Amino acid sequence: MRRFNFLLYQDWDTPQYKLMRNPEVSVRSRGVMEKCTYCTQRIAIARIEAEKDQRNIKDGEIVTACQSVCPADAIVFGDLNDPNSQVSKLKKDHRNYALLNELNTQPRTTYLANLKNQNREMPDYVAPKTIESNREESKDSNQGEPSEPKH
Amino acid sequence: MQEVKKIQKNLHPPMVEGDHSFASVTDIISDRTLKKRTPYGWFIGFALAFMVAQSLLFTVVYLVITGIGIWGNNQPVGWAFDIINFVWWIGIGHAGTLISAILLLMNQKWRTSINRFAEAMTLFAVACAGLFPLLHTGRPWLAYWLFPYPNTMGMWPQFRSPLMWDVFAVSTYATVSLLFWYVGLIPDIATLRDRAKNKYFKTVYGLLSMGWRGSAKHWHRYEIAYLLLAGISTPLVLSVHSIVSFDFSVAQLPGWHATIFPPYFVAGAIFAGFAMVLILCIPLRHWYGMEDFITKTHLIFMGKVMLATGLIVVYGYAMEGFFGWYSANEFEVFMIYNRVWGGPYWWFYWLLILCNGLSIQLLWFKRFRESEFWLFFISIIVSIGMWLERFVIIVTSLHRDFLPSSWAMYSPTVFDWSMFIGTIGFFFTLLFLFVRFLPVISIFEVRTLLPDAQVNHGHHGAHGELNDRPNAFNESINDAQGAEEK
Repeated sequence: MRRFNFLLYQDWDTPQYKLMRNPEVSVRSRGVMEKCTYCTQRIAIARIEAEKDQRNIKDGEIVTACQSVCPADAIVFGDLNDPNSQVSKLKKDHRNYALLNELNTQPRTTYLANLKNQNREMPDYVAPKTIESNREESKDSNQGEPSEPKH
Repeated sequence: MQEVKKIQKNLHPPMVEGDHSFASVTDIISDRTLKKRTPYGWFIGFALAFMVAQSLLFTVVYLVITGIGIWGNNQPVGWAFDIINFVWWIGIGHAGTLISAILLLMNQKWRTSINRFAEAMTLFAVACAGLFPLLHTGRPWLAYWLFPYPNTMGMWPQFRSPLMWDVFAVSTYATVSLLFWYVGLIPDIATLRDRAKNKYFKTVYGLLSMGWRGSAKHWHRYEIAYLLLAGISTPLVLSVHSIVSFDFSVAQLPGWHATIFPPYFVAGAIFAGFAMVLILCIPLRHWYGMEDFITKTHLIFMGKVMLATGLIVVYGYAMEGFFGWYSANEFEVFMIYNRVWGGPYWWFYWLLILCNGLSIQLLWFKRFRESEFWLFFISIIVSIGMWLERFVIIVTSLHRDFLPSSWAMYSPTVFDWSMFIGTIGFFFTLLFLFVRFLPVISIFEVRTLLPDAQVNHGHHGAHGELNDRPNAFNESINDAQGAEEK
């Protein structure tokens, strides 16, 4: 994953490539950090529309690009300050976790833990962990590996 | 009485050896610049340093054209050679400030003959250090964005970031060091102006000496300004490297997040700085005939300072290990395991212990402290060791961070090396120019150390013999300078 544009990775000169680019997005150039903006161009459009109608942005009005292409509807975007938005409700779910939360990194993007099938007859059934077995495991492994984030 | 004199000489060893008068001191130091033929060795040394400096020029030009992707750093080792070299150079500079400011306030006379080039070394080292973070910004032509200035972009620096503190710490340090060095140079530049025969030298020294005529008023103001600048520089010796250490210790990464960092870094900086002062002054006194001014006593004192600060650094290494164990934090324990024996960079750690921990133990012995060769040799080893220390702290901590999925190895590219070696060339180029065009030793301050400078208050009798010792340490500088007024 690219975190920083160490070099000029973009080809600005080939005219055909101009058609390929999203005109609403400025492509970050060399020497600039590479980071998710949560589709700031879509947020701007929604904000302008809401201002024209003199109302607040409705929940679900902004759909990020990754959200719109996700076939499993696994990505939700919304206003965390609104307690009734879908994303706020999901954040209250006890499955919600953040990456490196124990270090107080306070990321905005958080994840929902995987659901396990509780039917013992199913081939992918995993016995639920008790407190006892959890302790055993942490003794075995040297590092507390965080559970795989689920996208 | 002979015995008393011998004891006196041991207690207060002379800072100037040989039979010198005011005139002979001025002659020896200023003739180096004005009269004597530039030695061939100077041309060879300068040419070599200048050639090596070209690799810096080449790397910087190529880097500005293409971007910092030519360096080897990337996730997770986002800081590597650039910050290692930055801290290394900044650290080297600290000895100059310590010598010029703290030792001045503590009335340590032995600083007098080494402070001039130690301060020059500070300046040049800071110039080399500043290049690295400047170029690491990615778009160095926008580096002024780091300063809080009113702009229409709605941009404001993040004052909670230690990197921001660095900007202020280092720029203050560079400014004060430059002022201190220049103010101290003014009386000597005036001496050179008066003695120069060459028209160009006369003009340049004339401009630089800022109308210095050596009147009592000038000396009075000079003394006050110099003392004030020493007062301003003194906290900088401690603050700059403390803030540099905050770059690391404010982060949560195991191996960086330790409370010992500020004192440990400051001691390391002075340690590395004295090593560099020794590397510079041993050849200088040898080839430039300055043995009378930079005496064995100076070398021995510097050796002792190196030993003391080196031991503090070794204590820091021990404490890092202790913190790792005592914290009972699995990440900290793993960091120590990874650094000392389990990780791929373990041998860097042991090289570091060899260079910084074991090599300085020789300095306990008088034989090694008094030997030019051994001091020079140990200083080179220590300089390498201090570079390795920063490598161990930065790279081995970063390459095994909290997320095993992002673990990776770091290896420098050819441009990392060419830039680092290039700054060494640049540093020595500047030093060679300094040695050629400015007095390497403070003429007027050395004159205050001479027996002639000691004002005789006419206490004769039983104490007569004691009074004529060459270094009456309790005479104030002011008295001495009043006496040397021409």
